[in-house]
Formats: sequence, structure tokens, C-alpha cells
Amino acid sequence: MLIPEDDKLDDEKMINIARKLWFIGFFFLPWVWLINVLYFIPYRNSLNDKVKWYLKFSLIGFLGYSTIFMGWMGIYLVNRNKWGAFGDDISITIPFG
Amino acid sequence: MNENEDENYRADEKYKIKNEKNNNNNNNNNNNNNNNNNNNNNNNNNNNNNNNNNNNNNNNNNNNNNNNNNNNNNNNNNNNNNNNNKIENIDSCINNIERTNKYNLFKKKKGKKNSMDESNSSLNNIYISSPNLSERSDNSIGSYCTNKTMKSENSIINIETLFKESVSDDNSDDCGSKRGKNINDDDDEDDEDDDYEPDVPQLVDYSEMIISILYPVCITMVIVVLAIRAISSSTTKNSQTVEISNSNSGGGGGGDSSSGADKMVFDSVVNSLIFLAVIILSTTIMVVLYKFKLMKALYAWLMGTSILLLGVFGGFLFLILLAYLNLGLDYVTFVIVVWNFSVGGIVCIFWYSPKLLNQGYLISISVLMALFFSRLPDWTTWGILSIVSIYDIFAVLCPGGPLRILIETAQKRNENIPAMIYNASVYIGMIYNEGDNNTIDQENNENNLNEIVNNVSNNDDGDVNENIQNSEQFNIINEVVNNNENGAGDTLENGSITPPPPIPSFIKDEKQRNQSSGSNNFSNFNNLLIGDAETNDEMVSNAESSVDSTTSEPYVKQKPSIRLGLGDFVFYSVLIGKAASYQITTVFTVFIAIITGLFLTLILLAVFKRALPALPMSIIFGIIVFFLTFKVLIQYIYFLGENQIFV
Repeated sequence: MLIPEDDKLDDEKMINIARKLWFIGFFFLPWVWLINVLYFIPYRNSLNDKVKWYLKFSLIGFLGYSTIFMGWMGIYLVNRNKWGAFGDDISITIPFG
Repeated sequence: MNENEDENYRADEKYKIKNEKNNNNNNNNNNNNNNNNNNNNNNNNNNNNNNNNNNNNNNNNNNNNNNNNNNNNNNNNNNNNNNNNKIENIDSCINNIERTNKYNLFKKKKGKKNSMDESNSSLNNIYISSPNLSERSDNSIGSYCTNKTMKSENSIINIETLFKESVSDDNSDDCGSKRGKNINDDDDEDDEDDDYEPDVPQLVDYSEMIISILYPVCITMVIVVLAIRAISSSTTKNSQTVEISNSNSGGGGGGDSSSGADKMVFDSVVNSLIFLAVIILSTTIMVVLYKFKLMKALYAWLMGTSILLLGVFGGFLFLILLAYLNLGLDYVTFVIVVWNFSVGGIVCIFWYSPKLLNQGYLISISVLMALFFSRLPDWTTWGILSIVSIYDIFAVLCPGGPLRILIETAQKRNENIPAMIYNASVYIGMIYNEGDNNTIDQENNENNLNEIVNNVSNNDDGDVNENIQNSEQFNIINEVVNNNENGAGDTLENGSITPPPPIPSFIKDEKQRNQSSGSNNFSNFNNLLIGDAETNDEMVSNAESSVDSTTSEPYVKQKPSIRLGLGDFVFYSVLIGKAASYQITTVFTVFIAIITGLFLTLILLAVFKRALPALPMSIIFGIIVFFLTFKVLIQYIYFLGENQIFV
């Protein structure tokens, strides 16, 4: 809606999009980084170097954030029973059984 | 001798590719032939060039759908004359085979064309040609032909036309099965078919559009049904979510009817009137904001509601799902997941994003809204549905209706409607990478061709000796299409060389991406829009101005698009969600009723060609069918089941 109907992408627009999405991604938003990469897949043959730079670091950031979060989730799931009351306190749902 | 001619030949090839790229800018067959004559005279390669010339004539005439047989005979004679030079040609023959194979591999047509056995080949007509854009339909990417026949003297011209990716498999299968026969006529018919494909009658167009709008509606309804069944089953399973889904009243019929019929009627009427008032208020605010061009306030409102909706309801549903799946999760991960989901949703809905994600988020918003509404008490839901569908008629069709004002204002300003609308537009051709990417694409194409030529020249030493005993002739036509200034030509070339992005067929257009438009979802729930004549002409003119060529007119010819407001999704899903909370039988009957109503509305749309309310028919059908099923059909089925009667 914020973009016109017959929108055409040129290099400047692409750089702008990639940079903005890249900045947004720093707010604990790896999903936005992934969107950034996914959006430019159809244009991959005509990408600027600058855009590629942003996309590369978006992908790296996405993988890094994902690794951190996944790692934390793994630690939590493994150790939840050991932690006892603390584990229950930080749990939003407590599975039974 | 051999090497000399081979090098000559290769140089000739490279030169010709570039030269003909330039030549084809003219879109003029005669011009093209003349230029090729000059080109061939400049190079001292007799045999191949004669053949080339001849086949070039032939191919151009094929493009014009004229006189194939005459040219075919000429070609035969020419081939007979050239039999003396067979052995010198072997190198270049293999060269051509290699080259075609490279080309095929590059176009991911492996298996189909490469299956031909080179050792059996006695005669090769290899074309690498591509259509004249003014003659072909938008689907044809380029036609290049490979042919092998068992007979040595009769040259058979086999033209295989590769169309765009979706069609090309069929065509190559077709040609593969007919390989070895003279299929000039068949291929010409194919060409004609594809030439006139844009002129397919409109009924086909509508069916395609109906299918394209049917997919998201069905997906939304199925997800809602699954979620409601999951929630209602999790209430019996997990004590933690009982308080959450308390208002669901256990899925029994008429849960709040026990407190008296008059109270029930009063409650439902009051609830639906309040609901209607909220809808009217929000719609009016939106229309006023849009009318007075307070776009920032409008967008801020839409974004705020969207992020709240996605975050709150999304998180809520996520929690319920976790409880249903009996999974433990900590607060940190939960918050991060919800935060990512909602902010990613804002990006996808309002800004540049992959089309698939955009539509997925639109669907998920409808699902969340529908899940929220289906928690209302039963009779309130029925009251809301009927009142809203009646209101929908007035809002869209009355001269002073808010949605009508909204639509008319948007059309007047040539903007898209600032509302959450699912745009299921269907295009004939795939238009993407337009405009400024043309030069880049062209460079890519040239690089690709050069790469191919280089690969061929590297590989041509391999299989020379195998085929010496086979007298081979071949004729090569390189008529590489490039309307370089032509955006459509470049998209064709691009589509032929690079695989298209993995997007489903109903969201093919990159150009008119879903301008999703947000809104508070209930403010604009019900406009079913078809691109009417005005907007269509405007779109076509835009596309033409961007492509700036008259030859690409078939490419920009496009069908009108169907846009369905997200509110329609929401209320369809509310209805079916309500049905799902009773019995599974009602789900199927109501589903069929809703789809029938949608089809009827689309037929009316084809008749009236204006914005129509999509809710009334489907909702009325759905409610009637629901009560019929619930009160009659289920009793009937139970009766039959109890008495062991099998109809």
C-alpha cells in the first residue's frame, strides 16, 4: 500500500529497500532479514554489489540470530526439568505428562 | 582444411549471433534476411552460409505462418547439393550439437532434447532461432529446433518452439514424440495457437480468475476449521486453556439459549447492532481520512491495527497451539517469535516483500480475525453475519455508501484502495524485470551466449570421430531474438535463460504486486472488485509506456484482476468456523454453500462489471444451508444410521 501500483525497481530503490530492511533487522528481527533475502531472489541476476552486500549480511545476521535463539531454546528445553521452579517461572506454557 | 573451416565457422557463429541480435531490433523479416545475406557474403564460408540463409528464410516464413512447404523443398535441394561437403561439415555438425545441448542444459530442458542419439543421426537441422516478437504470442520464449532424421537425403525441418516455462514441457514432449516425422504443419498449428492465445474468449479468463480467488478463500477456511477444532479439543484436554476459550461454550448448539428465548434474541440483536455500529464508525473514519487525503494518519491507523492484530491475536493463537501440542516454551522465545511475526507482517503487508509472504500474511490476518469472531456466542454470530451482509449491500451499492465512496475516490485518483484487499490478479504473460533492468538483462544474455559459444569451442574436439561415417548436414540458424529496447523481449529472454522465481500461477505478476493496503479489517470487509474497463485501460497504457514499443502489445495485454476484500475472507471463515464448532457435516455443507455463493457473485461480476458486495450471497446461502443441515440433514442421517438403512 505504501508503494504505487506500477512500481518499478531501479538500483537506488533496491539499495534503499535492502538497507532499510537490514537496519530493521537489528531489532531482534531475523525474520525481517530473511524477508530481505527472499525478496531479492527473483532479481538475483541484476543485483547491485551494494545490494548484495546488504543481502549477504542480512543472511549472516539471520543465521546468527537463529543460531542464538535456537541454542537458547535447546538449552531451555533440555534443562527445564532440572531448573525446577526457575524453569517453571520462565515458562509460558507448562506441558504436562 | 577442417580446422580452418572450423575456425571460420566459429568466428562466423559468434559474429552472426551478435549481428543478428542487432538485426532483430528491426522486427522486419525481410530486412533480417537481407542483412543475413550481406553477412554471409562477407564471410567466406560457402556451405554453411548457404544453408543458413536458406533456413533463415524458411524459419522466418514459419514465423509468418506462410509457405512452409516451398521453403522446405528448397531446403531439400540445397541439402542435396551440399552433400559433397559433408565430411568437412562434421566438425561443425558436432559443434552444433554440442552447442544445442549446452543451450538446452542451460535452459534446463535436459532429458527432453538431449535424448537424441547422435550416432544415429544422419542429418541435422539445428535451429537456434527465436520468434519475431511482433508475430508471436507472449508465451513464446524463443523457438529453437533440433531435429534428427534417419534418412540421409531428405532434410526435414523440425521446428520446436519453446514457450515459457509452464508450457514448454508439453511442447517439447510433443515434439519429442513426433521427432523424425515431418511436423511442419503441426508446429505451425502450435504457433498459430500460441499466436492467438491472448484472444481466448473471456470465459476462460474468468475461470482462471475464479480459481485464483478460490485458493486463498479455501486456504483461509480450512485453517480456521482446523484451528477451531484444535481449540475445542484442547479445552477438553488441557485445563490451562479452559479459561481462555471459555466463551466457546463447548461446541454445543445453542449454548446460551437456556436462559430464555427473549433474552437470547435481545442479546444477539444488541450485540450485532453494536458490532454494526463499530463497523460503520471505522469505515466512516477511514473514508473521511482518505477523502481529505490524511494519508499518514490513515496509514498509521492501519499499521497500528495490523501490528496489534498480528501480535495480540497471533500470540494468543500461538499460545493455544502450544497448549494443544503440549509443548513447553519460555517467555523469551515466545516474545521474540511474536515480535518477529508481527513486525515481519507489517513489512510484508505494507512494503516490499515476496508476493507469497504478502498473501500469506493477508490470509493469516483473516484467519486471526475469524478466530476472534468465532468466539462470540452462537446467536450473536448469526445476527452479526446477517446484519453485516445486509449492510454490505448498502455500503457497496448505494450511492452514498461508504465503501462505494471509497472505491470511487480511489478510481478517481488512480490509486489503489487503501484497504486490506486480496488481489488475485492473473496475467497472461509474466511481466517482471522491467524498466531499468533491461540493460543488465541484455548484458546477461550476451554473456550467456558467449559462454555457450565458448563452451562449444572447448568441447568440439571430443566426439568428432564417432560420426564420420554418417553423412551429416546441418543448417544453423541463429536468429537470436533481441528487441533490445523492448522490455517484453528482455523478459522473454530472461525467462528463457533463467528459471522463473518460484511463485504460483495466480500471483504471477511482479508488476502489480499486492498493494495490500491495510485497514482495520472490518472497515472494508466487503468489496469485491474487478478491474473494470477504466482501470484496465489505464494499466495497459502504463505498461505500454514503460515498454515503449508497439510490438510488445500482446505482452501487456492482461486480464482484469479480481480483488476480494479481507473482510469477505473473515466473514466466510467466521461462518464456517461457527459451523465447525457444531459438527463436521455442517462444515462440508456450509463450505460448499459459501463457494457456491462466491461463484454466483463472480458470475454477477462478469455480468455487471462493477464492484459488487461479496458477502450477501455466500452468507445467506451458508446460513440457510447450515440450519437445513443442522436441523434436517443430520437428524436424517442419524435416523438412517440408527435404523441401518443404506440409501
